[in-house]
Amino acid sequence: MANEAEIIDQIMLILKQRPDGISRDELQLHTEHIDQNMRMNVINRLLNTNVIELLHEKGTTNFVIRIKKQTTKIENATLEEQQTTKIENATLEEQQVYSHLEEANKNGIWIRDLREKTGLSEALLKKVLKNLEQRKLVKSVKAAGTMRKTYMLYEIEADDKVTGGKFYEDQQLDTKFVQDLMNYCVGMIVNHRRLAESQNPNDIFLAKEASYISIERITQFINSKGICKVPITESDVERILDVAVLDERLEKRSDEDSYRAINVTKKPPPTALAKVPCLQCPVAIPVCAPLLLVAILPSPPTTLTLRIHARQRTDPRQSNEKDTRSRSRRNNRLAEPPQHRRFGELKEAIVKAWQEVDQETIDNLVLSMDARIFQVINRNGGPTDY
Amino acid sequence: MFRDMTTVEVDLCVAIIQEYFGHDAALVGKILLTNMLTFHGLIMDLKSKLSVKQIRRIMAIFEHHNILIYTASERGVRYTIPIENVLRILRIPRSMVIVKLMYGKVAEAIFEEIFSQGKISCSDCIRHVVERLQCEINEAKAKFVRLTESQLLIKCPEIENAEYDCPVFAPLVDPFMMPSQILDGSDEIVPMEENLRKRKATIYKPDSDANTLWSINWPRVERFLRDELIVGLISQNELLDETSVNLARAVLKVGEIKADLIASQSNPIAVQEVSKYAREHEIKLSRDEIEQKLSILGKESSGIIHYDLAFDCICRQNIESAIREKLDDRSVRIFRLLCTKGYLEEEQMEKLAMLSSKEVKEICYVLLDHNFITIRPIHRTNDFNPVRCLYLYSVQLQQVAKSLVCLSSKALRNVIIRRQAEAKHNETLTDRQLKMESVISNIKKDTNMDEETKNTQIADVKEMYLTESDIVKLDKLKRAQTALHKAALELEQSLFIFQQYLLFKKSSTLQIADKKKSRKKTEIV
Repeated sequence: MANEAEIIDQIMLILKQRPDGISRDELQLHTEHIDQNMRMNVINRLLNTNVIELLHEKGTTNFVIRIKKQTTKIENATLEEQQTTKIENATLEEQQVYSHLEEANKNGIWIRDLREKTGLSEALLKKVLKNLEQRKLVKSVKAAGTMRKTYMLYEIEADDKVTGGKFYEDQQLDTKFVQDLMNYCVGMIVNHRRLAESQNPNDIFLAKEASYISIERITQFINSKGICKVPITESDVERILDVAVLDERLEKRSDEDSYRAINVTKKPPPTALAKVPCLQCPVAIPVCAPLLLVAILPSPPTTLTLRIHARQRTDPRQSNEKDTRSRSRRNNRLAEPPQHRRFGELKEAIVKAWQEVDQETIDNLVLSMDARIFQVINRNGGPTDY
Repeated sequence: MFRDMTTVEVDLCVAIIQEYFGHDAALVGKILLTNMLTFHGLIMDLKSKLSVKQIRRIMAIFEHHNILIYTASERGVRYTIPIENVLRILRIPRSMVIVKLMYGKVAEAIFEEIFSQGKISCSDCIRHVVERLQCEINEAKAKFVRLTESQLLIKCPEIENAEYDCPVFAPLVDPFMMPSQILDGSDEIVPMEENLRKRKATIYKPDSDANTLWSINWPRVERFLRDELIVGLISQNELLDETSVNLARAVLKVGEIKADLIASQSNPIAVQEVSKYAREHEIKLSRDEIEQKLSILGKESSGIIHYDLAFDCICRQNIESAIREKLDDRSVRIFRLLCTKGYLEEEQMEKLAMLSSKEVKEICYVLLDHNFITIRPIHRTNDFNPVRCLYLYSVQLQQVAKSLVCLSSKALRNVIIRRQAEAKHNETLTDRQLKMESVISNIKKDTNMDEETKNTQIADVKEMYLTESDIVKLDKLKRAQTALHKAALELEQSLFIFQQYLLFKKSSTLQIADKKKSRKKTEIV
């Protein structure tokens, strides 16, 4: 009969070879020479001393045995030493959860993943986590950009992916910080370009080459000046400078990852569309047509009721109920004039109403147009006084 | 042809026709812009408003001014007015400036004369210009020759056969060749045959070239306008100075001669040709300097001018400027991000543009509202579950260009109507001013009185006709009119830019389609 210790060693050897775990059937294959009962006892003992753990395989009744991650570091220690758990006065479940969190290290685990890994019920898991939190062993961190709550060990700093990096404060982008940093960098790059151009007044190509500045130098510069409380990495700087490229303040050279300032003195003039109010006018695209409004509205031609339904800036993915409601409301307002049975009648009535409008009214309308439109713009699409 | 039109463009053209040709012409124009009709059809549409004689006269005027076109079909001759022809009227001021810059004041006068007359013979044109400007006949002749050499003026095809419904034109052999004999008509009265003497008018000896009429070669003019825009784009590059910009212009001219009128890329241009051109046009640069400056302009492009890329750039600049004016800087950032990256989700945009998610959402919805970007939902599951639906934003530049064409046409039309309405509103005032000016000029011409009495009389007249407030109003009106004219010109240029961009895009898609077809054919074979 083999010594229990020897069997333990054999099984441990097999398990070490397979750090991801070994299924029960496979273990049976490898250890055929060992008696089944002995094997079971050994496994149970190892489980009890928290050296190995048991994971359920999803869907099947099979389970996988593997060495607990924390103990792989301490290879030479004996079993007794390995018995000491990291936390005292903890139940088995709490220890399990703790070990999973240790595994997760910087990224943290989402509560649902934790539930899958440990196989505990939701209520129990919540109790365990609450306990651990109270004992200040574990903390929850809200990941930036998502709505998840991740759990991790208290002492560990959350990774960049979770908090969003240095530019995030309370999971919200610190726009001011980003903007200030960007202005600083751009200012530095502009100075560099001026220097390069003054050093090479004759050769334009050399000047252009010299005015490119690499990311490393920029990062060094920023860190040396000590603008931010934490040291800035190159990838952070790259992100900021790419945004400056988008804003047309820098240009990037892809083969070397370097940047150059764009000279702002020769910017193109604003487009002609900006010189007429039609660009800003909220009714330009759907409604505007100088003489059309008069024929459509039923009120007497001397007053002009220009009712524009101010649209809310809503998510376009939401359904269109709001629009249909407003449309029916608008239609109801127009329900006063006589009803026409046939299309031909309506057409004649419209043409007649149009022709009845006298020239002076039209003139008044055209001339008051810019005053009306400015009122509309000032009231953001709201009703005018006309 | 009617597929690319929109109501707004048609409305704009009607406003233009009304301003230049009158109210009746606008009625005819409106119908012809949207339909291709026979003469009979046209009469049926307009029978309540205009008589047949009036319609016929208006159509003749349109044809003379190169607005109307006609084709023979089975049902007879069909007439229509393409929108382009009417919009060209608005391009005249800008083209005249270019002609003046390149060829001088006399050439500009010739150009204007030909445009205002529609079609005119060489001799008549020169005569009018000499009369107006009081310049030498030889100078006018020389300038006319220059204009024909640069292909800005083109001969109208002569009528071979006028017996059928539609006149048959002789094919144009040398559309830019000057006639051999001009200006030899004179005031001598030609002896007529007996039976013709009943006619009251005396017949002068006509010019030898009275039958060759010239008009403006619009494709070439549009080419000039395009080159000007490209030079404007190049001059934004701060590496270049004045001489380099002129050199760029020279390169474009050389390219013009070699390539098709609507090619998207020119053929490769050699330094030799550019230096030859520079020597001809007195650009004082040595061969080495030319080479150096050309290498700044484009080192590795091997002399090919990419018109389509240039217009892409100009169009994009205009759109970004429009967004910046209408919305704010951050929207421009997001627009540029989407232009460079293609399809993006909201989360990706947050990370790349360094804006908070609330800001990104707001900007995206506003841009979507104004049709600057488009959204494309992609469903991940089979049952269209909205939670599992991905929304991708992107920029479709052609769509944006089309919507901005509509907006500029609308704005342009509003500006024209507003200008006309203002002028009409102040009609009485302007009439009074005119009367006053004529009275003053009469007083000045009057030789009976001496200086002092003249001046007192003039002062009296001024006081009588116009008060202080009137003068202020008139001044304000004048300033308003110039501002509106200026706005109209600039809007027309924006319209031109977007239309040219869409044209280039269309031709490039056609080229790609052709290539695919030919590739398929070779595969099958």
